[in-house]
Amino acid sequence: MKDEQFAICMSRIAAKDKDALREIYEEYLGYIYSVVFGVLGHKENAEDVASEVFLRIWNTADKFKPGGGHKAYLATIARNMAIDELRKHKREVLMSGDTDPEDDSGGADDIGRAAAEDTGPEDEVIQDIGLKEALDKLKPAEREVVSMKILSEMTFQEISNALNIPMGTVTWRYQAAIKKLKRCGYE
Amino acid sequence: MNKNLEIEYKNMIRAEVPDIWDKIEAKIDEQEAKNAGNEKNIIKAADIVNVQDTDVTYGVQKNVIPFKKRSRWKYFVFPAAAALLCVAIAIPVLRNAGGSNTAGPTAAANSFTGAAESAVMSDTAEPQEACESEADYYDKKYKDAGNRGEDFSTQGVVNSLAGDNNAEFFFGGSNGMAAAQSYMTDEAMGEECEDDIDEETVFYEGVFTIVISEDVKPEDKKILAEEIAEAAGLVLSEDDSKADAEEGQFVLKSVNSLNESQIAEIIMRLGSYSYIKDVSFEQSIR
Repeated sequence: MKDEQFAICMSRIAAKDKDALREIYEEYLGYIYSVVFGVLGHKENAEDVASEVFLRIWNTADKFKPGGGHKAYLATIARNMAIDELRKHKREVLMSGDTDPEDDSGGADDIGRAAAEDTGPEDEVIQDIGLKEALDKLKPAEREVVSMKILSEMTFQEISNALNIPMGTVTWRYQAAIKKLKRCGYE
Repeated sequence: MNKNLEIEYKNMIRAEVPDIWDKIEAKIDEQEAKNAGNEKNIIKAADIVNVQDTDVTYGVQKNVIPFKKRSRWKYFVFPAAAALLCVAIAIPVLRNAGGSNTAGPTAAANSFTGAAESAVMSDTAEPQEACESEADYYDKKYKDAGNRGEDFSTQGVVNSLAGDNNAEFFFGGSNGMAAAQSYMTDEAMGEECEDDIDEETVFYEGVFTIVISEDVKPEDKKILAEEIAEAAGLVLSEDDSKADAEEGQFVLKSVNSLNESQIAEIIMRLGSYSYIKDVSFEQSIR
């Protein structure tokens, strides 16, 4: 969908045309959901927040100003709402992983552990597995950063702010995750 | 065999995207219904104003507190009823009070004027007027003194007119303030009277002799004399040689000195009683 088409849809939505919203839904649900899921990493929560995003679009369509790029507009709404939700339930989301949160605190211990993993025997063994399995090999904190970076298209600074952790920790986690995924054949 | 992580990851997530349109639609409908409800309420509130203006029945709307038209008649009827009640109570009371003043010894009078009128018990107007003028003066000066001691026996005889010392002052004239002062037990009242005392006023000591009519039964004469003495602020003297109970002659003494005006006043008062044939004052010491 081009910007012009999106702008027309938004003006129709402002006139309470539900079909226009449906058109945006069909086109951008995946995008919005992935952005939200990238931040939250939880299906049910991502569904709820994604539906809230569309509701927000419905309510604020009359304030939409075309020209800024409609994908960025949608991503900003989705990301902000997801981050709000994340902050609301931050502890629950963090504790949803099986690992001890202290293991994901980053720093010298993580770097040492990563160095040890680099020299692990599986480094060259696992080459061709599915993405799901590859992602499962990531720690929750690492997967969170990767999702935010890839799916939500956030910068490291934005991720750092959203998770309230140092940017160095964010970059380290991302690099560690990418290394793991590379072993699985993903670049 | 390198795979693009970004593309595959996004595709994987988007492939898993659930259909949430129903959810979105439901939320939108719910929100629209809420908004519509609010708008309806606003319209209804406006309608209520119109309804009140045209006196059409109202109050069927939901979520709106109907404000009722205040009934103004309550604010007029209740005070009017209360006022009528007060008048209905006051009129008989005032009538009774007025009746007692004019009818004589039928009811107790609260003011000294009433007491004086009742005490006269005769048709003579002069002493009555004198009493009233004195009572007015007294009312102004010492109002509480007149609130005591007025009632009547069943025979219409004065039992007491002024039952205490303060009330004795009643019998003094305008020149009799010194005597009045001497009767007073209240220092404050005495002080108040001091200004009115004339140093040249002459006081007398003596006795009043009264002769009660033969129409009164002999056994009642003494009782009557005692009552008259008490009413006049005098003391019945039984051991006086002039006293003759059988003849109806009694001697009444004043415990204090009296000036001429007071003496004349008492004589007039005693003489006004129809069952007293004769009254006299005999000076003993000057």
